[in-house]
Order: sequence, then structure tokens, then C-alpha cells
Amino acid sequence: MTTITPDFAHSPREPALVRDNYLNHSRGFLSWALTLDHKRIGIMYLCAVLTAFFVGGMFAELVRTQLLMPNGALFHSADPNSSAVYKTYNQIFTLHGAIMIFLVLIPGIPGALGNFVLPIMLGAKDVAFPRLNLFSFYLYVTGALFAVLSIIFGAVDTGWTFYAPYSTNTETAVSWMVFGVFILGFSSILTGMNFIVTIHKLRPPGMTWFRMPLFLWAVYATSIIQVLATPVLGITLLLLMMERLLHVGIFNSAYGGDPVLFQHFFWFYSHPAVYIMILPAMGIMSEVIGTFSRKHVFGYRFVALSSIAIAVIGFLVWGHHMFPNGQSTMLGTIFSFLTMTVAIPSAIKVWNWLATMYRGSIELATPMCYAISFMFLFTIGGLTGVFLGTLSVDVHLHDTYFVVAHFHYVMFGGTLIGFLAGIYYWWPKITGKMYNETLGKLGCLLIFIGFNTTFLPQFVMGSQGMPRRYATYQAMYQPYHVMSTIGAYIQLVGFIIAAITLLQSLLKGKTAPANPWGSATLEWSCTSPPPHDNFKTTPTVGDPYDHSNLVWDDKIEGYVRDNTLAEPYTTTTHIPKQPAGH
Amino acid sequence: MNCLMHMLAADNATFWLPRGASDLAGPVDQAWNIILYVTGLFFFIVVGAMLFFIIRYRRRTPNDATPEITHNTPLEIVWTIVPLLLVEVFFYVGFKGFLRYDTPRSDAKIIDVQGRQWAFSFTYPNGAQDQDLYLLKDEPVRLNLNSTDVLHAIYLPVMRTQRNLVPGRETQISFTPTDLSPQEGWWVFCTQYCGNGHSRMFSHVYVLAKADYDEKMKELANPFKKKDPITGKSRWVPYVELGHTLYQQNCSSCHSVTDDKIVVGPPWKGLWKRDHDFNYRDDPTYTLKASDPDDKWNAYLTESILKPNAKLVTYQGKALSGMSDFSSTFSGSETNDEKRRAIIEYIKSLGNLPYTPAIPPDSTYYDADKYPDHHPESEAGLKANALTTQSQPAGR
Repeated sequence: MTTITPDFAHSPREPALVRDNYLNHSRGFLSWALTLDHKRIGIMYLCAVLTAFFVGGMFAELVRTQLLMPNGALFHSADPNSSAVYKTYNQIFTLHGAIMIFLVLIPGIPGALGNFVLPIMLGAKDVAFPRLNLFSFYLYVTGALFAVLSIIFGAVDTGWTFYAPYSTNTETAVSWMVFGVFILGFSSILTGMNFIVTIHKLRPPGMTWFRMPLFLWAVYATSIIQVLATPVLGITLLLLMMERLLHVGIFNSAYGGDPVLFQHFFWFYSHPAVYIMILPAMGIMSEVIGTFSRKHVFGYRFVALSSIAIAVIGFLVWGHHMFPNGQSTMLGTIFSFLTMTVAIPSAIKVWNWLATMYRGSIELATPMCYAISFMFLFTIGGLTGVFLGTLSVDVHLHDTYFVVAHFHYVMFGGTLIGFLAGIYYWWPKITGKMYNETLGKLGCLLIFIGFNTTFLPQFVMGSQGMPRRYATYQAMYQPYHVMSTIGAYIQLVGFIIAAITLLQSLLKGKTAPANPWGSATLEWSCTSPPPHDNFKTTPTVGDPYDHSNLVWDDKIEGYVRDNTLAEPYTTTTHIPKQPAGH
Repeated sequence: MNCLMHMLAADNATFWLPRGASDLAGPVDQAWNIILYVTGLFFFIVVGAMLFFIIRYRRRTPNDATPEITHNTPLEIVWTIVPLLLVEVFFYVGFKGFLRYDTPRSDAKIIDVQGRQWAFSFTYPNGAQDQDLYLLKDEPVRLNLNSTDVLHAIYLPVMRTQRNLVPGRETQISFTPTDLSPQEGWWVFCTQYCGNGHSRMFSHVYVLAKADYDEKMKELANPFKKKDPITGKSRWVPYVELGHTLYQQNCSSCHSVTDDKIVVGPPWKGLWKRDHDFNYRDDPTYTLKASDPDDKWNAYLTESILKPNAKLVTYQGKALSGMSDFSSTFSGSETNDEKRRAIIEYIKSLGNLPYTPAIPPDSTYYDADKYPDHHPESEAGLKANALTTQSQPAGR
């Protein structure tokens, strides 16, 4: 199972890997456990996040299996008055949500891919605080252990939102899970802080702000949110634990608190948190679409600044989770207005990706297939968000499956598909191996089909009135649920194929060239896998999206830079050679 | 324009929406349709362009030359401003509909809604109480919402409205039902996750015409009496039967009557005259044994309904915690006191001892046309009947 070990790097079949690189630079368990190398920490994050994703995914399959039957296919009770049997279902959907949000979506892309590629893309040898980086990883592991402990001590049945006063009353192990999330928050804050300092202080000469690859802009915007918003979640969860354990009245009206206050505190973090999840994926999109269209990313500054706009406006819209929850009319109105504006920076990105593809040279390699899926799914996710941001329509759709579907289209169709695009895109760089394109594309196709089969029916049943978080439901919704569950099984097959693709690549993959895709960003100018110190000499920094002097070399099956084809980069602004646009 | 708006507001169930049956449905469906068509158009533009580009500009050689198009500021400003204007139009449309939803009506009939784990209970202006919602067609209604334990939300899909029930606050929804409901009614769901029985916390809403509505209100106001629809004769409902109905409305989510299992609270089956262990007693010397007299048991059960946390039992090795009290449902008026007595009578009938009601159910005292003043098992009825029995001992 543990395929990424220093031993593999010494495989005699692969002469390129014998060269000193970060995988074989040092050996032994401790050389990994105590490593300060951002690349190894990234790999450890990747393994941890994928493990959490596997667990969270299995919980999702259980949820969908239960919902095959109106009275529940797994947990059901002959006595219509007895509901104790549904507790297990409630624990399963809570664990699915909590694991996917706090252990996969939030730390996933920044922790795994961000850690690995951010310093190399930037042209730095490591992040600004390598020890802090390792500490973040162990905080993540500790937080995850608390989540596991919470399962052992009775699991959690509150939903991932921990709404009070249910969360302060229920007998399940809420305190363990909440404390785990509290620790995970620190992991998130420290990673964010590390990235901000790295981007500010470790840029090499020539790497101006507007020469930074868009992935870095996206991670930078993400880090700002992580540092500013996560402390609010931390203190909210501490207050929740105080109320639970010491009965200090804060959220529970029985002790003189106010349940709506919890929702304000919670969403003040958790709405920006959805941008923590989606922004890095959007960054990956810009890289992948630019590369596989072999064209300059259109409207670089708009795309870069839209990330910052999302980070800023994202802080001002949390109340849209609470339109019918007892919030005042005035607040609801303001939040709805601001919610509409946050849709725009995302729309800008989609337009710009489309314009990047226009007149490009589009290659449908696996990362690009995921990028195409992302654009399809994220567009649906984003547009359905407009329904929910509209006050009167939200009153009908609130807390129905429409919300569930919307959320999955954005977070799964967006973040997770983006994460997969990134994994496949940087896989040759990370492991030094190529993977089987046909298998990779087949996995992508099955996940795409399965995803839509799962979540499109959920929009319809939601608008027809099916509430979320139900262990049982009225028979009229069954056809939608059955279709949805079939989709979940198709996705499972897709993910198994995707996993096989990557495992097969580790065992039998061809040696990867330094630049298999023809990308112009810096990480592709060092070898695959990168050397321990990333760059022997300080790299030359150019336009991250100028592909014109990258030419295919059949001998190495990769791209090489031919400097005779284009002028060296001397300017920081891009002057189009011909009138752009239409 | 009006014609277009009318077209956009569908009256009947569609692929997307259930039928709309309140004054709120029009604006919601209209907003839904406007957004659906506009966002649908944008979806087809994005996906259409994407698919077209994938095919038209597919890679032919690894070294394809592509034009150096880096940006186009006017175009980018256009595709920023146009969507921004559109979404703010959506905002305005939604805002108008929301004001209608969010403004309480002063001319509405008020129905109190109480949510608890895991049932709704509706209290009507005439004091009647039921687990289902009965509405009069075309009459504005305002639901005042309360929760006794955790967050709940009442959601009426056909009315296009929902609102959270927040413990410690009173919230409301107002609307006017515009259509008669079918026989089986429409669904009322709880949409705010509230624990084990969340998915089983539902009711029905019935929208009735005036005559049916009045009849139903009369029936609900007096659960003690039932009219036979065929013979037209009124009959008092025996307390055991009434107690069972009240149990289903108020107690069934936490107490089992069919077996000996703890659901949330202690099972009622066999509870009457079972030796009790307490994990907490307000009076440390208090004990309750099977051998204790009926009066002591009655007093204990009364207290358990009105002040449930005064004494907490340990049952089957499990120390049970209390519940929120039912004093507003089962005390405060003569009717409520009698309902409480009916509940206790029902618990008594579930005990392990043979049960005989004070007045056997075949007694003529249950003939409500002949004895219209008191229920035979009520305190007043027992007293009056005792007098009657004394003066006229024979012939009964």
C-alpha cells in the first residue's frame, strides 16, 4: 500500500531516478517523519488526505445505500414510533461531512499540492518556515486522531455544522470531534501563514507579483482567508465545548444563550471556508487550462485579482445560510445583495478560462479532462448558487436536497475534481513517472457520469421539497434517490480506476521527462522528480504562460525550452502581437 | 409584462416544483423561473463554447502555434458588468417576494405551533390541539413558532414557505392558502436537523372549505366527545382511548407502549405499579413501590408530566435524564387537567395488573346525548354519577 518509499526511487529499471532527487536524498523512516523538505511534507499530506478521502467516501456510499428505500435499506425499524435506529445513519452522514470538509477539502490542495509545488513554482528552495510546516502536518494528524477517537467514543450525530443547542445536548462524542476540528484549525492557520510569508519574502529576482503563476495567487488568497477566518471557528468551538462541559450559557436558550448566535459565529468561518476549499482548485484550473491549450491564460490580472476579490467579498456573505433561521429582514436583504456580488469573480474566472481555450491547441490529456469536467460541474454549481442566494427562492429551497446538490457540485465537482486535475497534472513531477492516459481518462469519464447521475436528481427532488439529512423519506422521492445511489456506485468504480491508474504508474510507469505537458511555469524547469534543493542555481523568471518557445522533443517525450525561438523575457507587461478578442 | 409574469408563475406541479397553493407561491415560482431561464442560457453558452473549442481547436501537433492573446480589457469589463447587473435583478425579484414572506400579517388567524423532538403540535384559536395543520381556504393565517428543545424548522413545500423554530425565541410565518387540499393532505416537513427522529418529524396540512373546517375545529376542540357520522349520536370517548390518542400526539416519540425498551424515556408498558429506582429525587426519602396505593401512583405520574425533572428514574441499569415539561398541554384548564387524567388512565391500562376502568365502557353514561354535561370518567362526572347512582341504584 505504501508505494511512495525511498526504495522505489532506486528501481534499477529507471536510470533517471538514480540521480539525486528529493525521494532518494536520504533514507529511512525518520528521514520522512522528521523531514523539513516541503516536497516530502506534501507527499505525507497527500497520503493522509487520500486516506481520509477513502474513509469519507465509504461513509458516502453507506449514506446512499441507506437511501435506496424510503424506510431505509440499512437501518430501519418496524415500529414507526421508534427512531433510535436512525442514530447510526445520522452519525454516518455527520462523519461523511466532517471528514470530507475538515480532513479533505480544506487541507487537501494547499497541504498536499500547495506544499509540493508552491516553493518550486515560486523559484524558492523551501517554504519560509520549514519546521512550522512539519508542525502543521503533525497538527493535522493529531486533529485527525481526535476525529477517529470521536468515532470510538460514540461518534457524532450533529451534522458537520454542529448546530446548537442540539450539539450541546446530544449524548454523542461531540467534544472529541469539536476538539479535533479545533486542532485542525491551527494546522490550517499555520500553513496559511507559512505560505503568505513565503510568497512575500522568498520570491527570487524577477518574480514580481504579476509574474506569479495563478495557482500561487489562488493559494495566496486562500491563505489570507485561512489566517483571518479560522480563529473565529476555533473560539466558537471552544465556546461550544464550554457550554457542553461546563453549562456556560452561550448558545443554548435553556442556559440563557441564543442558538442563532452560534450560526452567525459558525458561518462567519464556514462560508469563507468554502472559498478556502474552492480557490486553490480554481488556481489549478488556470494552470491546467493554460498548459493544455498551449496558450497564454487570458486576462491574467483579472483572474489573479478575482481570487483576492473572492477572499474579500467571501467574508461578507455568511448570513445567506440563515435566511429563514430567525435572522432579521434587514440582515437577510444585505446578505442576499452581497451574495450576488460574490458570484461575479467566479464568473470572471470561467469566462477567462473559456477565452484561454479560444484559438488554443487543446489536448485532452487526463488533467485537461478533469478541467473540462470542472468547468461543466462548477458552472452548474455556481449558477444554482444564484437560486439559493435569491431570498424568496431560498425560503423554498433552504435545507432541501437542492442545497445538498449545489454544495456537491461546487465542492466535489469543483474542489475535488480540481484536486484530481492537479494530482494528474503534477504526478509526473511528484513521482517522476508517467501514468496510463487511457485508464486516466476512463476514470475521469466514469467519475463525471457517476457524479451527474448522483447529483442532478438531487436538484429535482430538492426543489420538489425533499429535506436534507433524512434517514427515511416519503415514497414519492424514491425514483430520484435510487438514481442518485446508482450514480454513487458508478463513481465508486470511477475512483477505483483512478486509483489503479496512479498505483500502476508508481509500479510500472515510464520515466517522466522534466516537462511532459509543455508548461511554462518554473516547477517544470527542474527535473522530475525535483532535486532535494529544487534548483541548483536561481532560476530565470519569465512569463509563466508563454508557451511559444517550448518545443516537443521526441527523444525524451517531453518539451524542452528552445531559447532561439523567442526573445528572452525582459518586460513585465504583455503586449499582444495582434489585436485580441473578437 | 403582466402576461409574461403570469406565464412565469406556474400554478400546477412542474418537473421542478410541486404545485403552489398559497399566495407566496406566485412570487417564488416567478423568481425561480426567471433565474432558471437566464442561468440556463448562460450554462448553454459556457458549455456550448467549451465543447465547440475542444473540437474546433483540438491539438494537431505538439508544437501548434497559438496566437498570443493575453487579455482584452473592454471585453472583460463587459462580462463582469453584465452578469453583475443580472444577479442584482435576481436579488431584487427575490427581495420583493421575501418581504411578502417576512412581513407578519395583522389580519391573520393565529395558530400556535410547537416543535419538540419529534413532532409538531398545532394549537388553534379555540384551544383545539392536533398534530396536523388545518387551514381555511383563502383565510390569511399566521403560524407562531416555538420550540421546546432544539432547533426545528417547519417547511410546507406547496405553500413555498419555511421557518426555523428557535428555542427561546418566537418566530412566525404568514400566508394565505389558496387551494383546497386533496383528501390525503399535503406534507409538512421538519427541515432543521433535530436528532434521531428528524426524518420522522412530519405532519400534514389540510386546506378545507368553510363548513368542513368548522366541523373539524369543533371536533378538535372537544376530543372527549365523538359524533357517529352515520347515526348522528354523540358518545363520550373512554379515557383509555382518549389517552392513547393524546399519547400518539405528544408522547410516542420517546415512550414505548408495545415493548419494554427505552426509546428516549422509560417505556410505559408495565410502568404502572412497577418498583421504581431513582437516580435523583427532590425529596431524598421518597420511594415508590408496586405496593404503594393508587393515590401515590397518581400523584407521581401527575408530577412526572408537570414537573418531569423532580424525580428521575434509573431503569434497566440506565440513569435516564429528564424531559421538558408538558404543563402547558396538560394543566392550566379543566380540559387540560382531564386530558392529563386520560393519559394517566392510559398508562394504568398498560400496567401488568388487570385493568378495570372506573366506569365500564359499555355503560350508558357514555351516551353524550343523554348525559351531555360531563364525561363519565371526569372528576365532575364521577361525582355527579356517584350522586345519581346513590339516588337511583337500580336499572343501570
